[in-house]
Amino acid sequence: MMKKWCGTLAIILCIGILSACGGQASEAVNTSASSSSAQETGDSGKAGEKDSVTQVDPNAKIASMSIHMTNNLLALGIKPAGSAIGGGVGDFLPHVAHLLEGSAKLGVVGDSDMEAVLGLKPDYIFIDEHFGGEERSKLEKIAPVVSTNLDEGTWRDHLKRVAAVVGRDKEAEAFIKEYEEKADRVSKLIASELGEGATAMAIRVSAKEIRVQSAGRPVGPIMFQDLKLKPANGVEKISASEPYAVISKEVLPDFDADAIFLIVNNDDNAKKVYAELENNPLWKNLKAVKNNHVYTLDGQKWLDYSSLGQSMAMDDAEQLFTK
Amino acid sequence: MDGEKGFKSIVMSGSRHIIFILLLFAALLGLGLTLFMSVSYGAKDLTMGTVWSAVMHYDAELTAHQIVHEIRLPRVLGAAITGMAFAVAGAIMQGVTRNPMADTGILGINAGSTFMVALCFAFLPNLSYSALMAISFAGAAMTTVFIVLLGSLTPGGLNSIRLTIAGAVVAAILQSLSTGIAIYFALSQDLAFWYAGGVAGVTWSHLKLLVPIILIATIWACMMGRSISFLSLGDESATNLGVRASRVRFLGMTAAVVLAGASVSVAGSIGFVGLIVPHIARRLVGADYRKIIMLSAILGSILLVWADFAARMVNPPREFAIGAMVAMVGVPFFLYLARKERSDL
Amino acid sequence: MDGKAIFLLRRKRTIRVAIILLGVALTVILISLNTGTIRLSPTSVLKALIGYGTAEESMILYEYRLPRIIITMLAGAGLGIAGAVFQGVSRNTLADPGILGINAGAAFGLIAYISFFRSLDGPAALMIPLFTFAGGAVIALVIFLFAYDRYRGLLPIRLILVGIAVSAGVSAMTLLLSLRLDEDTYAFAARWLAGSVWSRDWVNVWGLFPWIVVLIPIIYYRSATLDLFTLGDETAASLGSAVTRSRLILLALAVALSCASVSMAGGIGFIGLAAPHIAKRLVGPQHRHFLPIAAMTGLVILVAADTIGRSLFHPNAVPAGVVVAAVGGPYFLYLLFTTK
Repeated sequence: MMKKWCGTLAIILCIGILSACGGQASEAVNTSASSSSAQETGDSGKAGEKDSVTQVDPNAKIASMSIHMTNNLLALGIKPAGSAIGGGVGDFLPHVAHLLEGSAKLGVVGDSDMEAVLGLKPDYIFIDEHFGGEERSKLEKIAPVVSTNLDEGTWRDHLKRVAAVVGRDKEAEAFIKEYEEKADRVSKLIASELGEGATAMAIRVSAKEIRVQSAGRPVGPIMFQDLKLKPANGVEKISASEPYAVISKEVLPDFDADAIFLIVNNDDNAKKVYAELENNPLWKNLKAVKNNHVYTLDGQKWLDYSSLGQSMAMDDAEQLFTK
Repeated sequence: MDGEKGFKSIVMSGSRHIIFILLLFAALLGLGLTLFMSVSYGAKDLTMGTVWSAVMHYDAELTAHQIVHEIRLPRVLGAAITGMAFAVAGAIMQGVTRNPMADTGILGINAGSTFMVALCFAFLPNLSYSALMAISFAGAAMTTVFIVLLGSLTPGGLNSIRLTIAGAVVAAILQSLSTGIAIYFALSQDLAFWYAGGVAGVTWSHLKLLVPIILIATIWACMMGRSISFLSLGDESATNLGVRASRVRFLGMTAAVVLAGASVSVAGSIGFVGLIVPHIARRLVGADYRKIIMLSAILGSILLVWADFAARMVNPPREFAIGAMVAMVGVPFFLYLARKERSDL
Repeated sequence: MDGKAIFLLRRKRTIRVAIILLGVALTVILISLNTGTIRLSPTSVLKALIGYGTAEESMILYEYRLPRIIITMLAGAGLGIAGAVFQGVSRNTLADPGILGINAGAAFGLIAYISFFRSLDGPAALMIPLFTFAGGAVIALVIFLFAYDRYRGLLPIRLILVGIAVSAGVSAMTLLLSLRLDEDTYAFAARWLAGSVWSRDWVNVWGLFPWIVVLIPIIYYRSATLDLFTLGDETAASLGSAVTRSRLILLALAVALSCASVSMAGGIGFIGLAAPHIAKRLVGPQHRHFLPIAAMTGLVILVAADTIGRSLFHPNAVPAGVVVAAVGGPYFLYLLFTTK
């Protein structure tokens, strides 16, 4: 009797689940395609493949659903009418907030406030497949969608792709050119300060551990390609596909870096981090510390892998090394 | 277990005395070896000679000496002393609540300290580390007082189940509120870093504060061991044996809060040590809490030093979280115990 | 007064309470429908509901607000019933689905998905509920197994103690994994764990619906057994209820119910604790009376908490679970003070 009961129950539930899944299978096809393309860096699911528009008037009302996208638009001199906010800070990122005054907040990246988007009545919606691929079908009901993919290429590619859509290729070229010139200038400054072929590492410190940043996104490219620093001994062992690894303090001297870039999120943290580190004799004895080559970075800019963020990071570097 | 038999097993343990002393001796030896190992090996390869000259005659100029003296030693000693504190606190809690599943978590220590730290992060962001530590300790103590008061003021008084559930629920409320604060003020991960356990950040100045507190509290706990043993037989038996149950319970919990609160404020929350170690000790030496507490102290040290050693040696120079190491051993072991000790429940 | 008269009196009272609660629920739902980033007047909401609104208004209602509200309704009712069953079966008025490790297990499922299985094909709107459901169910099963005694069956006290301990262990693992996440992903996970009603698509509604409409009637059908449990194991056995088996079946049903609810609505505690208590105060201890009331109470609490959480603290919405804990927690403490 009981077994029969259980069996019937199981069957009913299975049917329920199956029908639920079946009911949305048609929807799932789009979304799964977009989400998987976000994961693969290969040539499947190229950015913009599913976009219905290829040309957008730069003066149109644009809603940007990704922080990177917002910053790319800002770099091209376009202020989106509304933008997603950072999940960590719960607001526009501090380093670009002044550029977004008056723009609407459209909810946290990847968890958009659909009503806010709808209320904005945008002409176009710009998304990044890496964060917002899942929401594409919903957003398409509001306005045509334009997309980039953070996992494809560098920020230069993303910027050019956006520029092509809004017809501001020249601005993008100019922006990149200006960046390269700045990078050239700063790398010379660095070379004169640290010597040719100096090695460097970027670390983040919390109360209980030390993270060493990898040579990959977000800080690897700017440090080791644009600024022509050499990765310190051991940085290359951290897989570039992860942003950082937690490393034992004991091996800090082994990295033997000529310069240390210290990433901190805000001023209060910076003070605490410094206070803790300065008390540690091992830290004091590091080559970079002894030679006074520790640079505290404005983390928001350096960790922001977008055209505007990287350019601001470059300005930050210029300031640090002209002193 | 009825009081009469339990009482006999506690008092008439003369023949077991020698075994206990041998056991204690072996445990101490084990601790010595563990400490030795842990200081000798690390992410950085150092010769035994270097390590020992660094310990014996520290030369502040040599990098190798600095590694041993400033990083490994405080870290290993930190693991040893916090392991001891968590284990002893757990043993006390299991004794005074007569609940073999008790841990310091049911006193709301972790949740209380996290909650206070969340408040500080949100409203007083300029506090120094030492001020945060003091506040975290205060939060732990206040939460415990609150839970115990709550448990004792209810009709029927403070019993084991009520304390356990009150603790679990108060902890859940505080946890939830901490998360709410953290989300609203956008500091979730800062808080998580504070809360997560780890001894890599322990420094000599922490140790100077921690070691005396924990050693004194541990000795105090050992001295209370006899009363706790009687209490563990039940309030009535304890009263018959001339022990004032509520007083012992209060003092025992105070000791447990001091031990665990101090450790949490320095090393974060490291679960399971307080749960497992007293169980092992009880298996080895029986129901006498004097012995359980002493042995737990040493075994707790050993466990945590090993866990920290594993955390940094699995894939050097990368480090893993010490709590993960403890949980990986702790969860299966605990489930085994839960199956095994059915008669206790 | 004989038993029959008391029963009739209770039933009358139950019906009255149910009607009042229905009114409260409707009010809360209507308020919730009117709450959002875009202001809609109550009349336009009503118009849109019956199909006479503008395209935009009906999109807001049908695409954004309604699915979320239905999910909170279903999950609230599910958690309320599940809590009542846990309390009845374990004969502990302070039991809660959280105690069976369901929230902890679901949280672990979520973090495991985010940390290791993100590259799996499939939209997160379905994968997250799948993983969280599996996590909750597995942990509940583990706790069952370790609380089960071959000779004495499922021991309520052991169930609670083992539950607390295993949840603690699983939570430790969850915390450690979550520290490896980047800031934004962590913020998402933290919101989920605190019980933000994350899923808000019709897919999720259809995923949760069958569980609720199938399991709740089955549990209700067995409410007489639940009444027997409150008399104690011996009495229940002598009255002919196969104690262990009924207990297992009811627990399994309740676990399924709360896993389904938690997997759609996020880590929400306290409803399973508070709703049955309130219901019991309102209509007395007989399960056939207070189960429906518990479901309605749970529904009202969760819908209200979600509405408060996303409107009061706009734009940084506070998860419904936090609102529930902030209100449900003190209520629980009050219970602890007053129940014997």
